[in-house]
Amino acid sequence: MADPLRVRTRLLLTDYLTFCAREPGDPEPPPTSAEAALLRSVAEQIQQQHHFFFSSFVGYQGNRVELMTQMVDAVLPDGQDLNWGRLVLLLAFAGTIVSQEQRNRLKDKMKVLQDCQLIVALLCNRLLRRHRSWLEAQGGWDGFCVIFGSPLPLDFWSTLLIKTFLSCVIATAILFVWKRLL
Amino acid sequence: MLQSVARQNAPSNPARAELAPEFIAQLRRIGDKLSSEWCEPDIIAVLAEMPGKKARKSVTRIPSPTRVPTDVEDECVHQLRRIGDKQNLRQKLLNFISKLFSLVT
Repeated sequence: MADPLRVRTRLLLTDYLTFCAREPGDPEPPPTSAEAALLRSVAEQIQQQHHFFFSSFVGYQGNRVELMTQMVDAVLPDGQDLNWGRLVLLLAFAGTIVSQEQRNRLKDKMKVLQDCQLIVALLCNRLLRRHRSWLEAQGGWDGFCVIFGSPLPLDFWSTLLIKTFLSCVIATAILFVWKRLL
Repeated sequence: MLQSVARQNAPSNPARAELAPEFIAQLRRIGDKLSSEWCEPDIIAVLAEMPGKKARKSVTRIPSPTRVPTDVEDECVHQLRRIGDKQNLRQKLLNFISKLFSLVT
């Protein structure tokens, strides 16, 4: 009987890396699950926030699997605390190194897709062999959706921030005028 | 700009892993520049200096592993961990504020 967590993890990673490895101009494939849609969104935010770091790895032409192995060994070592931030960051990193800057020859496309499969297998094995108990304690990928799925939209926060700032400015102005009048 | 030039000059096959002695010396020099207070733009300058520009000048090819040089790898790992932990903390804080706000309202 198939392991549900393994199946779901593999599906999520395959979805994300396939999304990232598409060539410029190709349409975005629809996400296959709620966590897949959320991962795309969160990873994009992280890549934009830390653009200086990630931009060096876009269109990486070296040995992607070897690089990913090194990073996974170092960022997700055995016996150490794992957190969602590190995990999502690693997935964003994987997405960055398989992303394509330009349309490639068929041979290169096949290489990228092959690397995607190998990286998915690598990440699945590492997560589910060494960190399975942590993942299960966090509620699996449902837990990921709870942690990163914002209950309030971004524009709500922007509006709140603006209102708070204006309130502070008005309060300061009123206080200043009142002190002057006294 | 340096990055795009570096990537254009980088060989597109895994043979880039075979490093000439002068490339190794350059990597060691770059690695010596790295410190614990490294910041992201500096890492980019380092990474831009890395790839195959020097490798193309090599005449003799020596076998070597396909690993990213240790010094640069350490700094990349350090950055990844730092960004990951920061992202984790930020998300926890956002969730806490959201819960607090939903309790108040």
